[in-house]
Amino acid sequence: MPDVYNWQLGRNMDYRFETGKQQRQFAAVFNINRCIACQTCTMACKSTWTFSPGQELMWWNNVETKPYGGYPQHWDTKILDLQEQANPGKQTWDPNKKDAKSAPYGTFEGKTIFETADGVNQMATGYIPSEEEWKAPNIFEDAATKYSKEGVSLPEHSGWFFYLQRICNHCTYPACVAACPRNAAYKREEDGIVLIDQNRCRGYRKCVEACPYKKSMYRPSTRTSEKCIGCYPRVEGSDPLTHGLPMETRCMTACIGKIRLQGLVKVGADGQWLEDRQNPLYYLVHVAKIALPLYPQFGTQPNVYYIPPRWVPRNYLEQMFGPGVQSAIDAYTNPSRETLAVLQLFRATQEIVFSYKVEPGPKTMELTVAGQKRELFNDTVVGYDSNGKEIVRVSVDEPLIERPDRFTLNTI
Amino acid sequence: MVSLAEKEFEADDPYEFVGVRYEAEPGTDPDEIMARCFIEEYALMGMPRDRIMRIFHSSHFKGTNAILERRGESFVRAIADSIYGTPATEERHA
Repeated sequence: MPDVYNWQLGRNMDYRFETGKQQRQFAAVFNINRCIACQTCTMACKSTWTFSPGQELMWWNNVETKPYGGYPQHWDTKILDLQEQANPGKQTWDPNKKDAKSAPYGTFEGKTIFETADGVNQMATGYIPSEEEWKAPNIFEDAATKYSKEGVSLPEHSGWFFYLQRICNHCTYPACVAACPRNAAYKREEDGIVLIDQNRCRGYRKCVEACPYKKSMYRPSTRTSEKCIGCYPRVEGSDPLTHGLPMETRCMTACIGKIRLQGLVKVGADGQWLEDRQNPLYYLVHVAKIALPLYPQFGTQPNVYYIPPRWVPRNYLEQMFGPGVQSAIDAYTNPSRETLAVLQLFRATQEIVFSYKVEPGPKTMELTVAGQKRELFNDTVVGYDSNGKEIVRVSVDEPLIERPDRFTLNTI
Repeated sequence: MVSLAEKEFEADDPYEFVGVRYEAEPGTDPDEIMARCFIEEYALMGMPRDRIMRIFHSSHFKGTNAILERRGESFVRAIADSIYGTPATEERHA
C-alpha cells in the first residue's frame, strides 16, 4: 500500500492510492463562532441537488448542534469509538513533534481509519448507519419545530453548545475513494472535488461505510450512492452570472451569517497546498493558523477547515480539531489587523476570491480584547478573481442595520 | 383541514425537537463567557458600545437579552466597560 504524507498528522501514512495530481484543491473555511444555525445553507443545497424521489433523507449540507446532535446520529462518536477499540489507549497526539510547515499541529501517534482497517474486507474502518440514524436529522438539535403565530420559544441553554456546519470535505485522501470496489468514487484533477460516477456505481455502499464524516449516502430509488458534488458546475464557472469565472457553491453563497469562505488553492506535485500567501484560505489555514481540520486523526486530510468556537471546553475541541485548538482560538480572539480584514471577505461576493490585499484605514477605536489593549482600524480588504481583477472591496467596520421594531414576530 | 405548519407535533415524529443541555465546566460562568464573546465579536467589527447595549436590552435578540434578564444590566455593562474602556468614541455611529 502506498506511503503518503499527511501534513495534518505530521507524518506519513498508508493509503490505497498514491497522492493525486490535482492542479487545484477545493477548500473552505467555516467560522463556527458566527453560525446561527438558520439552515439556509442546508436548504440551498437541498433545493438544488437533493429534492428528487429517493433523496428524501439526503442532506449533503447539514448543520448540527454539538455535542449531542449529528446527522446521521452519533456519527463522530461511533467512529471515535471504533478507532479506540482498534487501538485502545493509543489514539494520541504528540504536540511537541511539530514543524511550522510539515507538522503544524504536532504528530498524531495513533492510527488512522486506513491503518486500523484490515485492508481486505475494509479499506477504512467504518460502519453503515441505520435508517433510523439517517432519518431524524433534528434529534438533539436546537431547531424550531413548527410555525406559530405567537412565536416559538426555544429553551435557554445555561451550558454550552455550538453549531457544526458539515459538507463533504473533498479530502486529499478520501476514504470513499479508497473503499470503492468499482473505482466509481474519484477525485477530480482540476479541482480536487470528489465525485461518484453514477454509471459505474453499483450501490455496494462501501463508500457509505468508509467515509468517517458520513457524507456518502445511498439512494434507494437509483440503487447508487451519492454525495456532495461541491457544486462543480459553479466552481467550473458554468453559471452565466460570473461569465465563466469560478463561483462559490450554493451553501456558501446562501450563508446569512457570513461564516463561510470557499475557494480553490494551488496544489503541488506532492498533493500539498503550495505557498500562496495572498490566497485568503491559505492565509487562514497556514499563516494565521486560526482554521483547523475536522477530526484530522481520521487521516483523510479533509479540506474544509473550522475556526473553533471560543466558548467551548478545550478538551472537547481538541478531540474534534486536534492540538492546534488553543493557539487558533487565541489568534482568533485577538486577531491581527490582517486577520480582521480577511474575515470580512466571508460571503462578500459569489465569485471565488483567489487573492486579496489590505489597504490601511484610519484608527477608529481602542479596545481591551482578551485582556489585551488593542487599536481598531477601519482597513479595507480587496478581493481579486482568478484573472487578478478586483471583484470585492469591504471595510473592517461592518455596516450596522437595525431591524425595525414592527417586525416583532420575525415573520417572513 | 389543518395545514402541515399548524399541526401539533407527535412524540414519535423523528423531526421533533429534543434538544438537551450540556453542563458547563465547574468554575466557569457561561453567561460571562458568552456575553464577552458576543461583545468582542461585534466590537471587532466596529460596533460602538451603545449599540452593543441595545442588543442586550432588545427582546428581539434572544440570546443576549436572556443574559441581561438573568444577570442584570450592571453585569453586562461591567463586561462592556472592560472591553470598551472609557467610552470616548462610542457615539461614532449613533
